Amino acid sequence: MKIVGITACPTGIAHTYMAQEALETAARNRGHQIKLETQGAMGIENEITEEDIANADIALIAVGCAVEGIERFDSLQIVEIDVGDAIKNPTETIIKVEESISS
Amino acid sequence: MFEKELVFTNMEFNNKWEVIEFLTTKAAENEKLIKSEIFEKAVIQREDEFSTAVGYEVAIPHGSSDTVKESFVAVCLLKKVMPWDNEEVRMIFMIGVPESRRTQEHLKILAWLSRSLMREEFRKQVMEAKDSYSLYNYLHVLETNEEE
Repeated sequence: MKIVGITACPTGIAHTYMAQEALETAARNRGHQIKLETQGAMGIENEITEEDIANADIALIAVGCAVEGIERFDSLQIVEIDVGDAIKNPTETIIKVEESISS
Repeated sequence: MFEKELVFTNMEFNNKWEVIEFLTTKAAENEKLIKSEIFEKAVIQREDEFSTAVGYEVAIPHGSSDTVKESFVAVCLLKKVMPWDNEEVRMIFMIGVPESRRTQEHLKILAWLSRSLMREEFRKQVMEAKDSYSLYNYLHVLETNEEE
């Protein structure tokens, strides 16, 4: 499946990027395509576009703070998870995404 | 971002507060920050909000304060795992960034370090470093490649 989403944390210097890396690896290992926007100290990177959302099956929001542009994902089913849990259990997080789409 | 004087291996501490205090003192001695107690307070406040033990035996205590003169990463490898909130930790990367004088370059290195810590091979290399000098060299070479 195609997953789009956001990772973010309060300080924006570490957890944001750890979650992005961990989730990308876990998703690819399970055969999915994934694109995660980071909202960190460097601002918004790898931005999710309208086109990305139109082509996506589900949204994954792994954050520990308020984020910008969450309404972009309104057309998609959204799975929300704490950014720390996403880092510790990336594979379980992706399985959760899989299960929520099949349910 | 990494400095020989701020990489420690084979260390032992009783709790996370001791690690933070030790690394803060070392960062101050190496002129990375002034008024170390202010930075230490920022790091502890961050820990209280949300533990920085991220799993994988890694903790990344961090603070952002204008008492930080230059962004730094202080690295500490423990002799054996130590409890850090609900996790067991062996690798500590303490990060300091200035609040208002951050450079994109430093933030990029920190993002790179954060991503690297999620890679098993990277953690393995860190864990297996035989002394502080070889650990510093490993990190420094990767950092230099990343900058290019």
